[in-house]
Amino acid sequence: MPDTTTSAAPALQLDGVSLDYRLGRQRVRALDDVSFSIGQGEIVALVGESGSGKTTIAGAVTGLLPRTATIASGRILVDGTDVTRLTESRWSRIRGRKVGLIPQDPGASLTPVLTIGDQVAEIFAIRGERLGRAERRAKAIELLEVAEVSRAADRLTQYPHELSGGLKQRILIAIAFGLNPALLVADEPTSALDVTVQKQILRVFDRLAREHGSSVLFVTHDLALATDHASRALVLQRGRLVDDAQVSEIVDDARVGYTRELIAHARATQSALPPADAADETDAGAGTAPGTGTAPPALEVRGLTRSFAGRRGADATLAVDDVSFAVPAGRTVALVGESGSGKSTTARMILRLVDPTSGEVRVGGRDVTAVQGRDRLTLWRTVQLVYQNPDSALDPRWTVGRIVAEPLAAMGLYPAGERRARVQELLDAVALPEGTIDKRPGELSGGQRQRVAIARSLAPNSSVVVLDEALSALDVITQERVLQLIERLQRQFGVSYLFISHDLSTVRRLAHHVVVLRAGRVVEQGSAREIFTAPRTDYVRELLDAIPGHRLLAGTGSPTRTAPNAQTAPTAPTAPNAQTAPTAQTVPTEGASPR
Amino acid sequence: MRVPRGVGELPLPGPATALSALLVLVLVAWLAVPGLFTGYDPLVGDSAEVFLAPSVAHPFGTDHLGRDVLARVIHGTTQTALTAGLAVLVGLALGTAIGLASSTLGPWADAISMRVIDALIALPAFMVALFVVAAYGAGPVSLGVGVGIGSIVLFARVTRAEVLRVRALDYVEASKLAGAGYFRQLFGHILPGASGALIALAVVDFGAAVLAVSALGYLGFGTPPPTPEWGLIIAEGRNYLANAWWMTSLPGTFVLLVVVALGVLGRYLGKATRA
Repeated sequence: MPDTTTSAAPALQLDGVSLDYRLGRQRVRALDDVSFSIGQGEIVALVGESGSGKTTIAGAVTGLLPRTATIASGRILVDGTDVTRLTESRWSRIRGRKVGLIPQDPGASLTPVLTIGDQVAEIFAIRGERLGRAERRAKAIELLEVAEVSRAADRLTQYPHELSGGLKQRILIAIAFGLNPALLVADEPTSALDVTVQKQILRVFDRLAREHGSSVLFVTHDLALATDHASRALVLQRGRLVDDAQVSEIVDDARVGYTRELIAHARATQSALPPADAADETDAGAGTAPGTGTAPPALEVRGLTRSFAGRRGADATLAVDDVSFAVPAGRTVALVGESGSGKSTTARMILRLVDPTSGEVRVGGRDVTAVQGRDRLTLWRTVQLVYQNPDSALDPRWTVGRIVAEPLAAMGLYPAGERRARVQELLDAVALPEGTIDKRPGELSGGQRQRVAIARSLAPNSSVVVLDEALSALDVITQERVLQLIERLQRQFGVSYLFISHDLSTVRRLAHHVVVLRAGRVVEQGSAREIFTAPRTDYVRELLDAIPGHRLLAGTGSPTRTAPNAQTAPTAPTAPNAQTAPTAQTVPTEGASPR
Repeated sequence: MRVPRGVGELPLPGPATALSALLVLVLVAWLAVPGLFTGYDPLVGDSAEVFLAPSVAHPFGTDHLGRDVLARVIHGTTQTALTAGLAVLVGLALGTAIGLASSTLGPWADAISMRVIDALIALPAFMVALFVVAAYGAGPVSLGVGVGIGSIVLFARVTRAEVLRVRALDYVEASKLAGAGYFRQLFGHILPGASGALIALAVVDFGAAVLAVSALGYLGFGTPPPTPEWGLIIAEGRNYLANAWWMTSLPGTFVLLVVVALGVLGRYLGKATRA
């Protein structure tokens, strides 16, 4: 294999690459005439919504495409070598040495049956270095320490399952940089991690890339993250490269319409001030419970605790420890925390899917902590749940009409003849296009599916909806649209939301009141404005600081100018009347992903 | 997760799948109207035409009584397929019931039913079928039930695994939150979700049952002669292996092809419903 590494050759070059997937009997074009190049030492972000072809590019560049993919035309050069049609055996000599990959899911990317030491030592074998045992160990420790893996020497004898996701990702980063490839592809390297961990990992990543002078293709759906860590951004939309510009240009003045749209959405979520204080004064016309102060809260939780028995002999662990908060009628309370903080367990206790060890749950003043049998149905008529992943929350065999009517049928609400009309009314309320009622979930986009799930949660006229990471599985733009829908439904129907999220930027957009959980305990709670502008604890300050998008906000669109009227959707200056439902035309642009 | 709902949405079958499907279609036709495919009588032979080698007139040759072997195979489809079908039905009904009980009725039901299944696993299926036939007398019904008991294990295991998989999906919990009771969840979501794997298994198991029924028929535990049945046809040729190889080899090869075809089809259906 000729080694054509010259300083002139770009680390990566794509010339008019078009790529198709075979999907059943048809071919679906995933990439359409994509051309770009990455210079030596350049850090370039590849941004796009899901289904835009980001991961396909990452796969094509690393030789890891599924067998249903064929490159129809064009050329891919990695560090001067043409890799467009390489056999697997030739790829195996290029991967690692010329192209490194930092994968999305660190949990699935280390071999579970080998120790970390063995897996790191593979680097030396690939590099063809014959080292003694002690030398190998010393070098492995050194590598891990460079990636800031704590207690590196101990890690060598540990297995992947003994480590946290953040540590595993550091080890994968250490391995990738250890081979010092000309090009590193990082495919959503932190999307499986908590914000604070994400921040630390990316700091390490940035430093290593600088020190090694590596060229990096940073694949992400998060524009804020891209602008924070890359110097140039490539924007993909439905398989086409629509923009290729310096980050500084994009932030100040994006020339391409789609990029501008992405920037505006990202900036809106970053900069919006919480609706909390403003709500009480300006939102009087919304027609929601006027006497919020005296009426019992829609949902109240007092001293809620749940312990899980430890293994034999071990102490029981407290998943949720003495959590108290209240959700006033017609308001949104956010339950915020990193993974494992007890958010979901709290939600499941409220819904009587998990029994609390102690504490009390009250809905509209009534104690529902231990309701059984028929009374549970009454609880579920009032409190409903929207799941994180709309793909698994809707039965793929059922039509949308049947899915939304399920609570009506199962709870015996509305006479059978009127159910279809009620379902249509709900589908209209969530702005789904005409005819959706007879479709199946597989025919809808992710955002549309989540709208169906929201419609189902409102079907029994529920007054409290628990949104369990309900926006996390959606793209930025889709997320923004669903977020606007959620806000509108609250004004329209006066529903209260318990909004569970690890994503502080959406919390900032939506919540009136924020409860921050850590390891099962409430570390801080208060009005959203207090939490976001004057946090009292270091932990919350750290969380806020970890939100990506600093560079985005430092751009021209200063947050203070767009924010004062927090009630109008700041991203839709053309539609000042936020009461108007998003029109049906906006919905199809959410784009079904061609999976 | 995409679930194909019509034939139009099934993934493109390969050549092996297409050929298998063709063979199964032919079998269905033979089952429905055997008389259309052969002019010969399967029971009464022509004494002038004994032991004729395969030819255009008699593709599978003729036997010791001058009967056309292909005619006997065609007419034998009914007997073999119905017996194997009974076996699948028994396995599917009892197996699914046990699998459902173990996966939905709580830890006690699970422990007890799975130990029963473990005990069944320890007994070779073929031997179970032999016991049943020995106890209740040779005949298609006892044969079908006997073979079916052997496949309960498979159906129970697969049902249990599938139900546990589907039950963990959010939409089943959502159905519970929507107020659906046990049966509404079971028949609305869980069983339809598990049905793909069960249908695929039923097809594969049908092939296995054809083989078991033929084998037991060969041993004389099935339908008494002269009723044509695949196993019996092969058994009758056994005495003439030296001078009339076609009497055993051709029907035997045919049974083999049928079993393989059903296996291929089952695999295809399994993949298609999981995709």
